[in-house]
Formats: sequence, C-alpha cells, structure tokens
Amino acid sequence: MTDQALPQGVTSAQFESALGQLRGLLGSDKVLTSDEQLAPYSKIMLSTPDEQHRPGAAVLATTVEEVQGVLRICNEFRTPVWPISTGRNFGYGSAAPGTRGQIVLDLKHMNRIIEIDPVLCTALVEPGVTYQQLWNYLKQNDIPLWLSCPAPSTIAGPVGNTLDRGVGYTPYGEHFMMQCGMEVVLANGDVLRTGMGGVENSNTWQAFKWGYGPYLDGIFTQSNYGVVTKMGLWLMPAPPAYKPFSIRYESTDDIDLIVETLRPLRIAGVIPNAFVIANLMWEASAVIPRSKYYDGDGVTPASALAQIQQNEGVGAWNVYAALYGTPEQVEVNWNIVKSAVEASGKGQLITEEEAGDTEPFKYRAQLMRGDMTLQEFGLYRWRGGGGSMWFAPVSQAKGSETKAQMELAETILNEYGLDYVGEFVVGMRDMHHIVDVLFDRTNPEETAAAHECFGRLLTEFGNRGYAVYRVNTGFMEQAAQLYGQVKRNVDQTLKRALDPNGIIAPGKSGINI
Amino acid sequence: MTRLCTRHSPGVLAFGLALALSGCSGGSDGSEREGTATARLTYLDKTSIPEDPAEMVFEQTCMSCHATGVGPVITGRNLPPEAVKLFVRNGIGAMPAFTEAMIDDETLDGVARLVAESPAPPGAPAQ
Repeated sequence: MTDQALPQGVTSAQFESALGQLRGLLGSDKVLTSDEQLAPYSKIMLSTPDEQHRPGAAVLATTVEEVQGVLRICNEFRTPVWPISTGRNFGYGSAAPGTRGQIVLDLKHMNRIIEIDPVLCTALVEPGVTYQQLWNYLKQNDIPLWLSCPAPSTIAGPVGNTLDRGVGYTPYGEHFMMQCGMEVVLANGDVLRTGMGGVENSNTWQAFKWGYGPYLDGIFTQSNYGVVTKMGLWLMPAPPAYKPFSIRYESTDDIDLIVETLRPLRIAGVIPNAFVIANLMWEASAVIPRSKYYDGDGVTPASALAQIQQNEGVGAWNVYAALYGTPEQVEVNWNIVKSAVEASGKGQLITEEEAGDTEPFKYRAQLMRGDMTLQEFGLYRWRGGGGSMWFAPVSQAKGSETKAQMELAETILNEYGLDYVGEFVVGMRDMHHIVDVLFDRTNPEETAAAHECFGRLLTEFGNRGYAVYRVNTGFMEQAAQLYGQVKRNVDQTLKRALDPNGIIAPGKSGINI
Repeated sequence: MTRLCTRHSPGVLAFGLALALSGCSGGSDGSEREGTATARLTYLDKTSIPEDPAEMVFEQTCMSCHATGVGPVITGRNLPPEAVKLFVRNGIGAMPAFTEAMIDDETLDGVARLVAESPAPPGAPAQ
C-alpha cells in the first residue's frame, strides 16, 4: 500500500481518529482508504504531479444529515474535505482534491431528482444527479423540457457544473443564470436554503432567484464556504422548431469579422444560444487524430493544417449556432442571419440538411439542444497521452479583442511546442475563450513544458488585463492573484466567518483561512 | 408536478418507457425537428433507454466514446472482463476513471461481460 497521504498539518493519529469516527457515522464500506479504492479518485489530466492531488481517503454521504456529520467530525479533527458531485471537470480538475491528503466527500450517492415541474419548467436535484440521468427521466416520462449541458454531458451533472459556473450551448447556456435556489450545509452544521427557500411553506424556491436581502447563491459557486446538497435549475421548454447551422470561414484572421458580424445578433436575441466559434484543430479533432496528417512532435506544421482544411472539410474557424421557436420565428431569424453573413462578404452557411449525418455538425447540433454526446472528447486523441488543461480567459465580444487573445495564446503555446486548440463561446456580452492545452502526460518533458506554458499564459494574459473565468485545480492560487488583493481579502473574510477551521476544500479558488 | 425519488444510480430509473414513437417529421426547410412531446427517442441508434443497469452504462457511457471514434473500439476484441474492470476503475490516458459510487461492482461485472461478449459493430471507426 502507498504511504498514507495526509493533509498539511494533520498527524497520522489525528487522521486515523477522524476516519474511525467517519466509519462509525457512515459505515466502514463508505469510508474508502485502500489504493484500489482511491485510484479512481486520484486520476488527473493536469501537469501537476499525481502525488500533489492524492486524497487521504474518500467518504460517501447519502443524506444531508450525513454531510452534517462529516463536517462535524472534520471540524473536530481539523481534517479537510474536498466535496465532489460527479468529479467530471476534466481539464479543470477531476475528483482529486486540490491539495494532497484531503478527504474526498463524494456526493454521487445523493442522486435524487427531487422535483420536476413541467409547468414552470424547473427542477430540483441533488449533487450526484448526472445530465444523463435527468435526460433519461425527461424522455422516459415524456416531459418536453430540454437540458443545457457542457460537453461531458453524459457523465457530468448540473450541480457540479453550475457551481463551477460552467456553460452549455443552448439559450440556457449560462448555467448559473438559470440556477434557482440552493440548499447548503455550512461548516457549523447549519442548513441554509437560499432565495425563497428559507420561507416557511414557500412554493417559490425554484421560481424566484433573489429572495430578500443579500443574494447569497453566488458565494457558494467556485468557493469553499459550504457543501451544496440541493440545487434548483430552470429547464427550457422544447421549442416546436429547432434549426442548427454552421458557418465556415477560411482564414484565421476572420475571427475579427466573425465576432463583429454575429455579436449584434446575439445581443439582440436573434441567435439566442451560447454559440461557439471553433478553430480548425478543435473542429478536426472531433473526427481525426492529428497523426493522420502529422506524426511528429511539437507544433502541428502549417502545411499539415492546410491539408486538413482542404481534405477534411473544416474551416479555419467554424461557427455553430441555432435558432429556436415557432417555424415562423425561426424563418424570420434565419433570414436575418443569412442577410448578415452575406453582407459581411465572408462565411459559408451550412444547414443541417447540407451537413447530413456527419461530424462534427451532428454532435454540435446535439449539444445545442442539450442532448447527450461525448464526441467533443475527440480532443483528447488529437495529440494523445491524456494531458489536458483548459485555459479560459474572458474576452470582450469584440473582434479586435478576440483576435488579440488568439494571437497571444498561439504565440505562447507555440513557444512551448504546443498547439493552439481553441474556441470562443459567446456569452451575453463576453466571449469565454477556451483553449485546450493538450499534452502527452506520459512524456515528462512535454508535461513540464505544458506546466510552464500554463503559468506563462496566466501571467502574460494577466499583464494585459485578461483573466480566466475558471481554472484547473493545479493553478487556482495563481488565477486568484489576478483578481487583486482586496477581492482576496473579502474571500478570506467570508471563509473565516463561515468555516473558521478551514475544513472545506482549503485552497479552492485560492481561498484559505 | 412530478415528484420522484431515485436513490440508486445509474440504472434503476424503473419507470415505464412511455415513449411516443411518432412525430419526427422534418419540415421542408429543415426547421421542424425533434423536441416536442411527441418526439421519437433515439440514442446511439437505439430507440429506448436500457432498463438493465449494466446495459445502460454500456450504451450510454462506454459506447458514447468507444462507438463514436473518440476512444478505441472495445467490442469484438475478446477483452478479458478483468482487464475491462481495471481500465474502468483506473482510467487510462484520457479515459476517465469511474468510482464505485458511479458504477457499482455488480454493474461493472455486467458491463465487463457485455464488452467481452459484444461483437464488433460493422463499420466501426478505426483507431
């Protein structure tokens, strides 16, 4: 057996005492400590060493009372816990804790779909519910509601994704905006219901987000102030008409024109969904490994990219968007989109009928209606080796800004022999610029290069006023520094007030007591 | 309003498959697609959601990558069940690891058996 991973400042005796109490609370079969049991909680895709993220144990809670009990014991023995729902953040982190020795508090067994209201189009779920489970339930019961899910749809879940402020690709793609009401177990054992949830006999917990007084839900996202045990979300009524489409552009420099052409349509609501602009390598990875055109090391040569563009039918940039509504609404908006693209002088519009049953159009169309697909993870065979870190700076939705970010990211990545595999997800006024820093994790030199590169990306982007909206568990401290000392002080003040012993996920988002 | 409770994951959503298998018509402009209450349910060319937990994991999780070219073909290769279980629990390369809380041991036994016994799909994507 591997040496016991202990949290910083916790003795072996202290840790064993905590485990003994946890076994008494949950049962021995719910307290996992063997190498075999902890292996799936230890796998990471990051450039940081496995040992840095090795958990000391994992415990399985099934009820709110058990979560309260776990926090009580961890407070008593000062042993930190790292709560997870499904642990499927891939290049942002997996089930493994941010720092060595933390006890993973696995909420996967809290997987009740507590309520679906088909009239108000709301749901109330526990953290272990996956998008697939919710999708199955809606289909099996003929409930005409659509989900909005991220790319790891099948195996990820709405609570974890929303709490990490993840995005999807439907008109409900800004997931935290569509969240309504939480139940949170605090470090002192109190159970907080946010929004309208604290009102006795209330039936508007999932109907009205804000409640009264300070709005609290936000402090429980990307944070370590409590353990969320229930979450409400809004679901989208299935529209009578749905029209996904693509627009293909032939030059990387077209990103400026693309954004300037389509931003007004997004802000005006003509294109209502969180549409994407994916570059050639992102697009190609869904259908081929890069070894089909280039089998060497380092950056994919321009000649290979030109061949891929010519032979595989992908653009330098590829827009995927969709229209929703009645057939009449869709027809009107389609004509507006066509006119705007034609007036811009560039871009080839591709409809679902023209794309047929081909990838990547097919999976993009699935994601934009909230269906289950893992096709996007073709990204991980592009280069192979299982290394992935999402670099996700926020950009204004202005062409000049997206072009500047693209060029900066590509320059830095190429210096380290890595490819710029990127896309922009279009928000209400911003772009989530998502770059998958792909590397061969079995190659120590390439892993070291990826690590240095990622830190450099954060620094260089930060120097220009750009910061990430989310980051993997290996770089949380550096990302937090970009947001300034006053913000960090407030984060810490809240932490000290709500979790004075610092037992919930220390280090999450750079927050410690 | 629908209230329900599912404590076991992922395969015991033991609800009847009350599916309306009609109404998947496409308009001439392609704008009429599935999405209404009468939509046809299809998933990876299946017309229903498996009730058996192992079949559900196999169809909805394993095959999402291993039948789509994202991951290697695993059917029709006589993979020993023990090897399948090892890969599932530990992951390999970009394949994530699956905890017992996600796929319990009994379900995993069934999944490994399905992988071992399944024939290779015709025209399966190459590696």
